[in-house]
Amino acid sequence: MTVSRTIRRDLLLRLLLINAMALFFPDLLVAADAMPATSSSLSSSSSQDPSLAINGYLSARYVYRTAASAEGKVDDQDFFGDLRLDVTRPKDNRYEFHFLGSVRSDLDGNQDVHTFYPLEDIGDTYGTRLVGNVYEANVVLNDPLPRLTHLRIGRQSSARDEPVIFDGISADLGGEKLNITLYGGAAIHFFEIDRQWGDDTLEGAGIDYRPFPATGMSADFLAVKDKRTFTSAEDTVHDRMVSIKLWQRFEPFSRLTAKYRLLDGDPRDLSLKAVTALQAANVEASFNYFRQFRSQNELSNEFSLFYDVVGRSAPFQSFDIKVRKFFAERVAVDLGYFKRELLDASDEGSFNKEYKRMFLDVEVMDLFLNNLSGTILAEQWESQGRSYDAVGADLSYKIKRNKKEARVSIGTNYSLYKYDYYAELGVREQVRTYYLTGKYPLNNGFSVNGAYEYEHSFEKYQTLRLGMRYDF
Amino acid sequence: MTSDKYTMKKTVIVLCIMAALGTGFAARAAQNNGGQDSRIPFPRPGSHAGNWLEYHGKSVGAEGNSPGQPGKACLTCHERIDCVACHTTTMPRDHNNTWRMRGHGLMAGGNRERCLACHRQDYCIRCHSETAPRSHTASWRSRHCTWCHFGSGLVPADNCVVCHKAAPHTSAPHAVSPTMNCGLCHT
Repeated sequence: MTVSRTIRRDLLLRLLLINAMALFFPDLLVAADAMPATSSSLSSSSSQDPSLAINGYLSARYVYRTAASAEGKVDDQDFFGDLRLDVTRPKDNRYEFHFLGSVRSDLDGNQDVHTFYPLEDIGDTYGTRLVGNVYEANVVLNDPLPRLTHLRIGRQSSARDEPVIFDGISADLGGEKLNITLYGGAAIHFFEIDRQWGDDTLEGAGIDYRPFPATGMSADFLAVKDKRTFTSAEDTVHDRMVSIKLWQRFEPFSRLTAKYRLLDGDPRDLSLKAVTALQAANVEASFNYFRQFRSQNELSNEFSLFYDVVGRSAPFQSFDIKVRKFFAERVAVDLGYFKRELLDASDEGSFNKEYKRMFLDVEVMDLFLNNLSGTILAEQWESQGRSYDAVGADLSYKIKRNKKEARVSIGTNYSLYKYDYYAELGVREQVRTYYLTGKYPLNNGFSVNGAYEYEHSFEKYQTLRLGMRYDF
Repeated sequence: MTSDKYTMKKTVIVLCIMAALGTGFAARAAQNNGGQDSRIPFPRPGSHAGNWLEYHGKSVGAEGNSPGQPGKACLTCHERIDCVACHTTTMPRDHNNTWRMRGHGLMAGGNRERCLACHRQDYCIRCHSETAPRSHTASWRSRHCTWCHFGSGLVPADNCVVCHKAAPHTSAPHAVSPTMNCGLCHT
């Protein structure tokens, strides 16, 4: 126990030291690395091509949580880090490199998942305390061949139709009027148990055609092979999605979009979207309609509506309307309404619900002081004759420092849940949350941030976050 | 303890590598652009004020802004990677501890499409397969019959089948009520 504490203290001291070095002596760190006489590859490449632009951030945060309940008090300490790099050559724009990775480490070592622990989370489900994910690590060749506009190699995400992450190759061909995208590789599932690289694959293609500047249409195809061992019997799921999308822009600020998708040859869903901004009236409005035609059962990880966890997703349609109006550039009012209804009411169950949500959000800027803004939010959910209400208030003060924004916010949220918890006991639960957050930019792209949150509900949670970020 | 030391060492090594990489690249960036982010040429658009997070997804779709498509307004300032960065490493404001313990199941029942913006099924499976729920305390084994088979008891509660796909039994052979003492017949 003593050794473990010593190690923890040692680690915390090192972390604090690294952060303190970075925060208080950024020039030292920067200067040390920027010495022209060093033999680092970075510096040597710098002298050859000064037009290399490197942007990104390095962020680190320490999170301390406690939970107090009738059974006692427990705590948890975690560390999170993110590194992002976007390396480009603005001069000729021939090559790019993008990287995004994150690590998390359980500092306290409590990863016992066999008994209930109110602070357990996905980080505790790994065999090791340190877990890392690489979301992007790819090289992009711009215009390597005539008509080939982009060639991207490595780990990458594609969000053409469904967001997917894979290790492989993608290529964009064509130009402004006609664009063709081809991609494929090993599908990456970050949380799969017993995952093995290359077990799952995906390939896709997309075409975008713009006959007129304000009119466009797209067609997409995505095929996924997902090998799984979830139900002990090994199983491979193959799915194919086809999507057709049309969009039209109306001057000056209105857009219409319609998208229709087929999954494995059957109609899957239709979505219609309209967005408009009436500048004279200072009003923005959006309307969305979505219809899922059929039940969605077991599907590959990329397409699944969580069937393995919450069962089939019954057909439904939803309406989503949002309107926001600005008054004299100081007051913004948001009004929203969302309704979800099942196509067959008899499908209603624990994980297939009909509900309505309404919200009102009022933000007043420059309230009493310049750069002080106050927000009040009220929302109501209604489902199966039961409701969940929430109100919140936030007060934020922002100032500019070194061309960056410093901010401090204080606020509270109140939520009232009324729902059946396991044995239809009709649990009524009130949750009140208080928070204080802030961030402050230092010199040379460094900023520090912190947050404290107190949740008063069945348990009493406290969360403290301390972090630093280096934007470059 | 050896394992502890090993993990700590790994943590420190990874942190140091990340710090070194970040600082090194940052130094280069600072040389080239004075530490300023050159990607954003002008202040944020007016539409990004207030409750913008609530709106941005719909606007992205309506703009025809899917990455890979031409004429993308968002990509004037944002990189493709921005979407992934936020949707994989930044939690929405409502995902607090109470949400994690009690609220997320309600939401998953109501609007799975929203969950799909960031999560895939493997995330749910990992957590529900590897962590123990609140009800599974020391006396759980003797109490679980009526907890799982409430009502008619013939079909287990939805909550049980979230984790137990291959339970020893998935339905009760007869109706069950909370007043029964299951232990009289079942050992």
